[in-house]
Amino acid sequence: MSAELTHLVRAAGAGDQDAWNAIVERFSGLLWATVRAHRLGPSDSAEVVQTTWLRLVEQLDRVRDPDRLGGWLATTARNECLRLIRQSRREVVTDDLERFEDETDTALDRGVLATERDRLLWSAFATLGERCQALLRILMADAAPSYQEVSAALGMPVGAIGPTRQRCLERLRRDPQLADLNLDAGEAR
Amino acid sequence: MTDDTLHSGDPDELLLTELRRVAALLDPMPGRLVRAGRESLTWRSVDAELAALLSDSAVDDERAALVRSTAGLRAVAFESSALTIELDVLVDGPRRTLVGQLVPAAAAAVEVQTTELRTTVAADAQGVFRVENVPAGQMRLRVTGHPASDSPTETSWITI
Repeated sequence: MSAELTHLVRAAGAGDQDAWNAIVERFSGLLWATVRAHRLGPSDSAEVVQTTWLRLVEQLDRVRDPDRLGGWLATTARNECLRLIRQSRREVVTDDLERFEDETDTALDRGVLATERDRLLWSAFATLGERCQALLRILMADAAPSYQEVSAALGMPVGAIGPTRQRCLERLRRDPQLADLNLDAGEAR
Repeated sequence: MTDDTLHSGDPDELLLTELRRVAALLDPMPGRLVRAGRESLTWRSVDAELAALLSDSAVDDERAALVRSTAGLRAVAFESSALTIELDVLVDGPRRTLVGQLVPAAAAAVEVQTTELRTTVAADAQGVFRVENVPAGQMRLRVTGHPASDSPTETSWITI
């Protein structure tokens, strides 16, 4: 796994576009989950993700430990998210509308495939507290992130992730909207 | 992904797997994010030395949460082995004005690179430069002809 990543990083650093694409495809899900966990809109999300990739491009020759690459990307994205959140408290964003509609279309197209059960689950998720939503949103990243990556994306200690995850999922199960979904065959209520 | 199948008996893992599937349907990653990511390799530098981000008031103040920077002004510093580049970013609607200082102070050419345009200005003998009307977005600087550095210097990308 890490030998493969080491090879990809080295090849991308030498300008190999296929190797770079493989890195982008592997970690895009983590970056998307990170910006969504920080509740950024489409335009801000795109900005954060692109800045993060540009930062990696300039650092390719310096990556010493490819196993930590996901954590590094998540930290970089998180810092950019925090900066934007701070900035948006002072500024009115005016150019986001058009792109937002563009995104909404895509979401609706895919949303057609969602069942009533999916929508109930998602709306129950959206009523959880901020901390729970952020953690669960990161854990939903495709592919499933390591705890080190989760910790980097949220600034949450690794030791807090397991217990918080358990508590948040338990809260989700208790949501009255989900009572009929039979989510929890494996555990007594 | 393989972890999911390994822990498939665990109810928490099952619920998370289901949430991951629903997120892909109802909060999907835009394809253009991946496309932009792929394209960023074209910004790989072959001849320049990196001046890495040393400090950024917009990030550091958030962490410290003590000092309020002047509204609309952001102070950023980059450092390479030969050069320090101090940069003030002034926000005016969607446009930015950049006021910079090269240390050591010397005349040089400073190119502003965004993902859409490139503009070159001259830093004066005191190492001071000013660029107006820079669009908001990703940006980096490329400094050439500075006596302290034989090779060009490029800063980290920042979003302004």
